[in-house]
Amino acid sequence: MKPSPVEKIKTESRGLRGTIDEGLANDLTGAISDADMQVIKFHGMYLQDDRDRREERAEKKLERLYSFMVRLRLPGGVLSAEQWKACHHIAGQYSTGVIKITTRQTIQLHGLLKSDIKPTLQAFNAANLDSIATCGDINRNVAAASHPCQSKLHEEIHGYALKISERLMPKTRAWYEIWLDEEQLLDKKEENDPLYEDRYLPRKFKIGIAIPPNNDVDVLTNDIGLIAIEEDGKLAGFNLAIGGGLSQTHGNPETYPRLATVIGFVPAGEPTMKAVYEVLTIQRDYGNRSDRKLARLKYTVDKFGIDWWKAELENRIGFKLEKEKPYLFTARKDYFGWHKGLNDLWYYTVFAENGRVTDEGSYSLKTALYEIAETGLSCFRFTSNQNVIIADVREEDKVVLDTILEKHGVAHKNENSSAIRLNSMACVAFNTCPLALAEAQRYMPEFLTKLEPVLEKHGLGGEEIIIRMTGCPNGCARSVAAEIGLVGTAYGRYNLHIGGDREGKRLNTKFRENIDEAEILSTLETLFGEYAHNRQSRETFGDFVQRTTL
Amino acid sequence: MLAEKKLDQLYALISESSHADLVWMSGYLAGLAAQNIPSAAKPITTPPVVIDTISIIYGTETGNSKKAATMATTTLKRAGIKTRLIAAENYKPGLLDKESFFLLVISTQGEGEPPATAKPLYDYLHKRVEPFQQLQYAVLALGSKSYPLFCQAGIDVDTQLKRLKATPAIAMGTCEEDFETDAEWWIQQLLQHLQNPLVSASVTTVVKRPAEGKKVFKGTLGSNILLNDRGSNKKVHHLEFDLGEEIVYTPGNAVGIIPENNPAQVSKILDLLEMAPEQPVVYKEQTCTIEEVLGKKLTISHLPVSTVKKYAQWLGVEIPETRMDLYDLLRIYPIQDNNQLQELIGILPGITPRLYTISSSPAAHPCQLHLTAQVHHFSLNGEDMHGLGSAYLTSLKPGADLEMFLHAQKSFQLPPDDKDVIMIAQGTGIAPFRSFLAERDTDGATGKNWLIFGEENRVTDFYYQSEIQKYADIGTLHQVNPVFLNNTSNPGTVAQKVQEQAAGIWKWIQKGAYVFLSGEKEPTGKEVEATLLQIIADQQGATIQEAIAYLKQLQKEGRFAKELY
Repeated sequence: MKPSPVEKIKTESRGLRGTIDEGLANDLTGAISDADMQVIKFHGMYLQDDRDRREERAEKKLERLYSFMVRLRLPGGVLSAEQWKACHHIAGQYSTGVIKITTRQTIQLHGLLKSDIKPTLQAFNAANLDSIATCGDINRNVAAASHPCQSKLHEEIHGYALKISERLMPKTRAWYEIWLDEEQLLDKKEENDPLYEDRYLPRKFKIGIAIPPNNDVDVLTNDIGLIAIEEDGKLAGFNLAIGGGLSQTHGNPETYPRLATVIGFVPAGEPTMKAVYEVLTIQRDYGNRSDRKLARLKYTVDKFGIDWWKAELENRIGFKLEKEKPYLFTARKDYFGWHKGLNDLWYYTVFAENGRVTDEGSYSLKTALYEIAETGLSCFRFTSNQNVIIADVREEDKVVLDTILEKHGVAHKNENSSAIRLNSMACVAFNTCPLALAEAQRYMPEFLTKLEPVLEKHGLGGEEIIIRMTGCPNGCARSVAAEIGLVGTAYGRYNLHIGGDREGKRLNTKFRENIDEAEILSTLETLFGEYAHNRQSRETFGDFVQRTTL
Repeated sequence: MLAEKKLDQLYALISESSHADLVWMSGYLAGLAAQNIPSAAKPITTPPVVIDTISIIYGTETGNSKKAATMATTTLKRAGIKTRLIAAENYKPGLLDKESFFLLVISTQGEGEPPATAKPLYDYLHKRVEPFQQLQYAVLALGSKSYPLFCQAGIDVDTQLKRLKATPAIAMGTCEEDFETDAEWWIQQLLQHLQNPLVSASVTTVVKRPAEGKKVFKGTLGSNILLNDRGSNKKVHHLEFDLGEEIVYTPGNAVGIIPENNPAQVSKILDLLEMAPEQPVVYKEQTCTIEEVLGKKLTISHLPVSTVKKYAQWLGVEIPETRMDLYDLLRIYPIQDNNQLQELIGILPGITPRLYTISSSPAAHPCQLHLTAQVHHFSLNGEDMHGLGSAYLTSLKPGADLEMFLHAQKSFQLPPDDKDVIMIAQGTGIAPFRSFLAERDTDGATGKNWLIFGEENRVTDFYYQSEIQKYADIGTLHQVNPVFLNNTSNPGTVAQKVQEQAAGIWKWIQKGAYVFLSGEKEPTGKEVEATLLQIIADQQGATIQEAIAYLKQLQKEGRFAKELY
């Protein structure tokens, strides 16, 4: 099979340098070359354009309004107060001003012009932040269970996110050379990369770490999922799951979403690190490099089978995988408001609807977080549900932060949002995502406003139903791993998926195809009616429709 | 030698043929002679006419159709076929009646819909009833097999064109997401078809140019677009006029227009004078209404100091030496009674015509004339003469008729096709170069083209950016150096860019390139001229005096021309 064009671009990129330098200097366009568009992903950026402005700009005989999205590498999603302040200023100076908390515990900025990239990345670097490998065919930001109150072992387990991220970093200095004007290495041998070689992975690669019983990271939707196993108050190791991934392509039956399969248990420490590393090398060597739609690890897993994978992995790591250990997930949620950690520090989870940190009228989340950062009394932790935890707060400092949260309407929003809204997610979609077929984050809030009375009518207002919307079937907001999933098909139209479970161990099923808002609402109303009348005790909506409807 | 009758036939044929025809014929006959097959002479019993220009139109959402259309353009141009590449949103469907051959590259969105930019053309073909007289076409459709209605927009367009009696040159091509290979194959099929002399013979060009242009002609405004994007400090408009008649002009020509005063200002004056708009007055020995004279004949705003002085003397009052609007003059220093009006008319200067360099090309924009005009913000001490003209022009609404006259700028003309051209423009100075590029692109000129263009803001002020990119993509522009002050990693001025490119510019000049400079005199024009002199001096190791002489010589030879204002 002929390799896909992207393969050639990677191997010929001279360690991910491509011709980005020349592209930055070219004022004929705000874009970069097609090949560099692939290369720059490995530096944590996508080339996008304002899709709302396409026709107007075309009429003015101007090219599309190109800009870049930059995504930070934040293993486990932690920022210090100083770093948050830096992000706040950088966003204001160079981007649209909105800080977007992603579904993988990091933040991204949109709307950077080509000439803004360098100053932006230099400012991030000054705050000890980088964007290396947060996009592209490579291990991306590593996500980990976010809330420290979940376990005494939280800090130790969470620490694996950083360790894994560092172990799987590319060796090239390209990011430093291009963006920080670091002097070019004369001896390129230092860049020899035994993991990625010159071809990197066939496709993107995601790793998540969960601490049962909460599955807030949606661990099984990752290429590699690590489920922490605690024994006698100590971290024994991890159940290793491989082959998760939600993206699919409309109309291409060969593509499908898949939850990761647990293939065994690995002890904590170096054995875990080695196992993770070698899953990548197997995918590097055996993944599909001719059809990018079939290149994720999940297809490689299904192509060769679990037995083959175990054998190949054991061969590469030099020890046997142990039998998977029992574990139980009971939730996939964030703990909103104040909670006391086992370390006696306090944590306030802020509901940031769809992860958008900005100021809107009396609800000024961005200013609130900035003022909190200025007090220096907390750090910030992002969750995989697009929220932010004001973390590591001493009991006596809570009152100061409460005042700020009250003043800017943040506490009010937290306390007055419906259960379904608090458990909702939406991806970016229009106006910047080039893949979007339908709206997501710009539309989800108003859609929920229409859905809430329907739930109320059936006495379901308090149900923590997980609902997620994506503008395309690639699944950034994990819509197929929700009790209710809306997957964009065309402007104003969605596939309605139902029947995912609450814990993240069962995907949902497509129930209605290509329907508009009115039909979505009426279909859900009928289902809610049935659920309210016929559910068994404690049965979730997802389980109910799975049992009765699908 | 040929018999006399044959010779007459040959002369008749030659007299009807364009230069391109003759080139084709000479090749064709040479080929025949070499093959020595006399019977094969048959095809030229009907004079073969080479296809004049193929319009290649693309409607794109993701950019793939544009890439495929660019591939087609490059391939056909290399084969010596005249083409022009146009985005669907910039194509006037009415022109289809004037085309002999057009190629449409179109993708399909959502549920079988055309891209938004191609919707007007798509709808036009669906609504049109009247069949085409002589249109040949080819459609290349792009789509994704992931969707049930694969390439539906292309299929629809093809069906409509057939219904309207247009003739498909070759069957519609379809491409999947990885379109390159399929598109390339299809373009080769098309090329083979077009290179078949019998086909060429059946496609005739009908555009005939009248021998003489008229002095004053009328254009109907088709569109009036502000080229600057939101957030810009500039206001430059692109105006497209439809011409009822074929006007013969060449790139580099200008048109003169006589602007009209703002009607609100006229009625303010009439109200002040308590006078009916229909009040007859005599102007230049003709009787017309006061409204017409104040509206269309006389300068009434920012009157020059000399006029204000005349007014003061005439009324016998003291007025400070300053520019003033007629309204303020009449309000502060009123005339005694309206019988004095006729005398006042004699004092006011008439409206002078304003010249605008044409930004369209006769070859690329048939039956149209485009202007590029900047609205000048003027303060009391600022330049107002330009202000009136551009304010009038840019506030015209589509459908408005405008009288114009042609103004040949004889020294600012394209050189022969095989000469290289360096074009240096600041701001609206781009106007003549858009014309140059479009003309050279359509005519398939072999000389190289280099554009240096400067403005304030890369994102909002890059006039004709998408067209310039297109010319760079298809190889019409061999070098292009835009320069801006904002939203760039390399801020600078046009003169700085010229200096940066000194070595290349000198190389081109030495190889015989023609250098054109266009834009505002101050400061850019002067700076660039000084820079050019410096380059000439530096490169030759000469003094500035010698460099001046060198540039003068170039100017004399027509190899350096400027249009500064």
